[in-house]
Formats: sequence, structure tokens, C-alpha cells
Amino acid sequence: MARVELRNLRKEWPGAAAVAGVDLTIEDGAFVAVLGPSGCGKSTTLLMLAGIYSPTSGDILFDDTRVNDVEARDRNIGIVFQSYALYPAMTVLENVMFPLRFKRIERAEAERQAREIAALVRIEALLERRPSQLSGGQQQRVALARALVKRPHLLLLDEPLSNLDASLRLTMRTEIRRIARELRVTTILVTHDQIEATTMADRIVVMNGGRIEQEGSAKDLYERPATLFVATFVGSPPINLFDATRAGDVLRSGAATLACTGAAAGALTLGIRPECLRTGGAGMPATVVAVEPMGREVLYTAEGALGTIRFMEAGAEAAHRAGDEVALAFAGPDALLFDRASGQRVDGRVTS
Amino acid sequence: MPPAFDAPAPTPGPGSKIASMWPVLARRARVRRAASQSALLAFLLLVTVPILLPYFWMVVISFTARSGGVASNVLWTACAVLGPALLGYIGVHMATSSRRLRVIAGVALAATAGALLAALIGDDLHLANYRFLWRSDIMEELRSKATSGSQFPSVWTAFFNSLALALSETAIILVVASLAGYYISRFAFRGREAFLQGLLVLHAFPAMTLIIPIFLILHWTHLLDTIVGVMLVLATIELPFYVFVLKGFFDAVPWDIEMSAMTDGATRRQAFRMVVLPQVRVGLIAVGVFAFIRAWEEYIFVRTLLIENKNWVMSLYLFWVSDDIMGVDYGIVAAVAVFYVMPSLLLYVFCQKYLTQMTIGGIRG
Repeated sequence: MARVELRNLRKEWPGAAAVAGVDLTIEDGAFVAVLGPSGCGKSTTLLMLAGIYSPTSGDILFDDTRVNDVEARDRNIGIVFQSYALYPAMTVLENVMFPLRFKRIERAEAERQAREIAALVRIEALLERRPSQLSGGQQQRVALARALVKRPHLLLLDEPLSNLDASLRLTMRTEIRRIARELRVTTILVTHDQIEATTMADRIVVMNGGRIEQEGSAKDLYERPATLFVATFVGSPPINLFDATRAGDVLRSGAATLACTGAAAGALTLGIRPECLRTGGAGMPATVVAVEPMGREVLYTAEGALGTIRFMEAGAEAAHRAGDEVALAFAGPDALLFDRASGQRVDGRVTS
Repeated sequence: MPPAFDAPAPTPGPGSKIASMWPVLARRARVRRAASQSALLAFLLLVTVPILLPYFWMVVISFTARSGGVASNVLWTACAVLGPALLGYIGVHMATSSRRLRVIAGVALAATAGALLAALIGDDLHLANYRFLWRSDIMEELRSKATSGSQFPSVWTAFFNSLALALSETAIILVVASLAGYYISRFAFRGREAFLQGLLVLHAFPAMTLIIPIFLILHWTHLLDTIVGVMLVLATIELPFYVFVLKGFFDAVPWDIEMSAMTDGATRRQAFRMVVLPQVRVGLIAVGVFAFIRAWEEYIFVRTLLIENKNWVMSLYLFWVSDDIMGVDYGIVAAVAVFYVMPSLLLYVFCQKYLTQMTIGGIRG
């Protein structure tokens, strides 16, 4: 159980910086998700934490002690890879006991500890099998048991769920949460899947281009994204974006003119989430061009004064058909405004 | 098998016509498949004969030749018995897929062939040609003491020299090639690409062109006419290729399991030994077998670099046995050849399932 701190951490490969200055503090026992697209530096950060890569510059601190030069094997970290990285030549029990081979523990005691952790992740029945005889979900549990058997200070999860099918993913999400909470181990989850991040973690760190874009709760990221990148990366279906210009009290975008107050000025990007648009009142006129039922809600694509815009309405039945005229109005959280040059969110209130 | 869907109902139209065609089409497909399979089998049998026949002949000679002469009638008699037996078994194999029937037919045919062979050529079989195994003075007996007195070592001297040469070369190649292959696979270093290309270029060179410089180098280093010298030369010449092969096997081992082992508490060396090496086991076995057989069958370099008869290896022994200044005894030559072939044949039989995996470039099944 450890408090983890990164100070201006950088990792440069020849010709490119994978991690370009990351500052981050993770409190003891927290469950943090690092969310970002592939190539954003999140896995590199994880491997630097694990001690596999050494940072080009910056510091890694565990409980306020600099561990940059401590070898991976001495950091007392458990790690679960996307591929699970089980040792194919060993049985499940041998896999789980592997980390204990490097500690001065008697075999009987090691086996007792391995069986204890196996019970925690519910793989007692599989101990004699080989990894090749396990399903994806079972392999995942074995990898988790192996990572936890030495009671690590820090548990690192690198895209742990992306090789599982949808229903197993749901189960394992809950399982990993439960196990992390039971052991009160500081956990860092690296993922590109926003649902994984928002459902499992207490706090989410969004990374892009080797830097942290924003950190906060799922609600923060969704309602008050700091940058255009966060706004597009968090939220599904993706946010509608339009180029817009502020002129006095109005915001012009395409053929539309919207009322606008606040500090926003100059060249802007207007972001409207599909689920924040409502029909059935006064609003911007638009013509429905496509209808996509998604189960509990229906996603529509419409052409209006702003251009092509998506909106979503609850209900299994489609209320509009292609060709229908609708009036779109903002509901729920406001539309978002971003500075077009910097991508930073700027204050401003837009009404339809 | 006809396609597994129902023919359309016999309503007027093209459907009913097609439905009546199915059995015809199915029969035609069956005939065509049987014909092409038979043709393939016949072709394979045909190209196998010139490869297998010399080996078979060698074995037959070693058990039948008397006082140096070779009687080919025994060979043809044996072929006349074994050929039909083999063809008969192939026919049974094709006709039935029942495992029991195949085994019964195989045993019956083998028994018949054995009985026929015993009746027809049983009197000609004897083990006298193998007396070189326990009599080291066989050459004195064959020629005369004056020409070959104490020139010939015991075959076991040559056998153990060959074994020492092959085993030590295998050991050197396994150790060096696995470490080098791992390093090239995992580490970036200046000149890595050039090094890799160099490995292949080195392998493309005919090593024979180096034979004079190698002779001189061994002479200067006082390794001429020693097993150690030949061992070093062979290992050096063979290494580039095996480094390249094992690099391919290491490339196929995911980085994840190594990283995982290192966070689990292993040093890099421990991770290599405990986690990575077991993953390339198949490659190590294949490389080991090939290295062994390569050294076991080596002729040119041992002929050039080994001189004294206490340093002879099996290939030199065979060469000198067949040296025909005084007339050659083909029975003994064949028996020595059979004895010489046995170890590599056994190795091949036991390891062939690993060897076939090497040919597909390190991709393991």
C-alpha cells in the first residue's frame, strides 16, 4: 500500500517523446484509471512505474522515496498485462507461486499463500491446469492472482479487460474492484475504454500526446472537460463539434445564430453532446436524415443550420423517421465552448 | 458428401432439374477425388524409390555379402517380397479407415513378408560383416599385416571421437546461439541490422573456400590434428545460421512474459532461464539435433584437419575401410555404413516432430 507520485516524468525514444512531462499524485489505496488513445504514453508510464523502462528525466516516488534506480524486481509491484503473460510451461499453481520463488519463503508456506490468493480470485479449481487449457476470463483471474500473491504495494493493470467478451468484461470489472478493495492495494488501471475507466476508478487521468489533459471524477470529465480532446474522448456517442465565432451577444456557426454570454471570444469550437438535445419544443429546425435504434435509445442524424448533427432520445421506438422536420433545443448540461487555437475550454453559456 | 441442404420442391422451373443432377455431380466429384489421390500417391512412390533403394541395398548387403562380393539377386528377391507387401498395405490403408482393420492387415502382411523372406533368403543372412565391432584387427585379416599392420584403430575409437566431436559442437552451438539469438532479438545496438545481414552472408559463403587458411591457422595454433580444433572450426562455420534461426524463435516469445517475470521478482537472467528458454524449447531441440547430425556426418574438414589414426572419426573410418588399394570388401563397407548411420537415424526418428517445426521459421504450433 503506497502513495505514488510522479514529478515531471519524461520518456524519450529516438525521435519522439512518449511521455512528455507527467505530474501525478496517487493517494494510498486509491483506484486510478489512466485513460487515453493508443500511443498516448499511458503504457509507457505504467512500465516506468513498474521499473521496466527507466525514465529519461523526472522522478518516481513511492511513499515520498525516489525509486527511479530501484530495479523492477525490488519494487514490490504486481502487474497484469493485456495478454495476461502467463508462463505457458507452468501450471496455474506454479504461475501463481512464481513471484514467491524469489522470496525467502518455504515451499509449504508459499503454496499456502498461493492457495489463499487463488481462493480470493476464485480459481481454486484450476490450479493443476496449464494456461492453454483456460478460457480468457480464467487466464485473467490467474494473472490477477499472480500479481497479488506477494501482496504488492501497487497493482498495475494494463488494458486488463480488452481481450474479454462483453459479459465477462462486466463480471471482471466488478471482480477487480472487489479484490482491490478487499486488499486495499493502490491500483492503477491503464485503458482506452472510457466505460472501464468510469466504472472502475475513483479518479480518472486522461492522457494525450504524452501529457495529462485532465484528471478528475467521471462526472468532472463529462460535464466540465478541460480541453476539446477530453470532450471528444469521453462520452458516447461522440460529441457534435462545430466551428463558431463569437460576435457580441451571439455565436455564429454555419447558418445558425445562437445567444451567448460569458468570457468566450474569437474563434471557438462549439461542442454539443447528442444526449443533451431535445425535440418537441421551440428550437433550431433540422431534418432527420438517419435513424439508428440502439436498444434503450435511438440515435438520429439530422441536417440543420449548424450542419450535420447527432442527437439521441430515450425509448426503444423511434419517434421520428428520416425526412421528418424537428426542432432541436439544449437540455441538461450546457453546450461547451473551446478556444479553437489552444483547445482549452472557455467559459460561455450558449442557449438555442 | 452431397451438399447439406434440401433440393427445392419439385415445382415447375429450373429447380427440379438441378435436383436430379445432384447424385451425378456427387459421383463425378468422388471419382475425380479418387483419381487425383491415386495419381499423387503413385508419383510420391515413384520419387521415393531412388532415395530409399540405396539405403535398403546397403542394409541388405551388410547382412548378406560374403567374402567381399555383392550378390544383387538377394536384393531383388527382398524387393519382390517387400514391394507387394508395402503396396498391399497402402491399398488397405486407402480402402478402410478402421484402425483395427489397418493394424490387422499390417500385422498379417508383415508376417507373410517375414516368412517369405526367411524361406527365400534366410540362408544368405549372417552377421559376419559386423565383426569389425568386436575385432579391431579386421583390416589385418582382410588385407595383410604388411600393408595394414596397426594402421587401423578400433571402430570404437572412431565412434567415440565422432561422438565427442558431435556432442561438444552441439553444446557450443546451443549455448552461444541461444545467448546471441536472444541478445539480437531483444536488444537494440549499433550495427544490429548489419550484424543480422552479416550472419546470412556468412552462411551463404561456401566454407570449403576457407579450407587452406583454416589449415594454416590450426597449424599455427597447434590445434591441427586434434578433435578440439575440428570442433572449433565446425562450430564457427555453423554458428551464424543457428544464431539466426534461434533469433527467430526468440522473436516469437512475447515481451510481456519477460516483463512480467521481472516485476514478479526475477532478474533478467532468471527471466531468461525460467520463462523464456522453456518457450523456445522446440527451437533448441531442433538446432541441437541439426548441429549434432551436421558434426556427425562431417567429412571434408575432418579429412583435411585430422591425420593420425587415433583421431579418426566415423566418416574417416568408413573412408579408409572402403579404400580399395588391395580390393575392397563391400560387405564390411556396408556394415560400417549401417553402423555409422544408426545414431543420426535414431536421433532423427525421436526428434522429427520438433525438426519439422523449425522449417517453418520459428513459428511454433
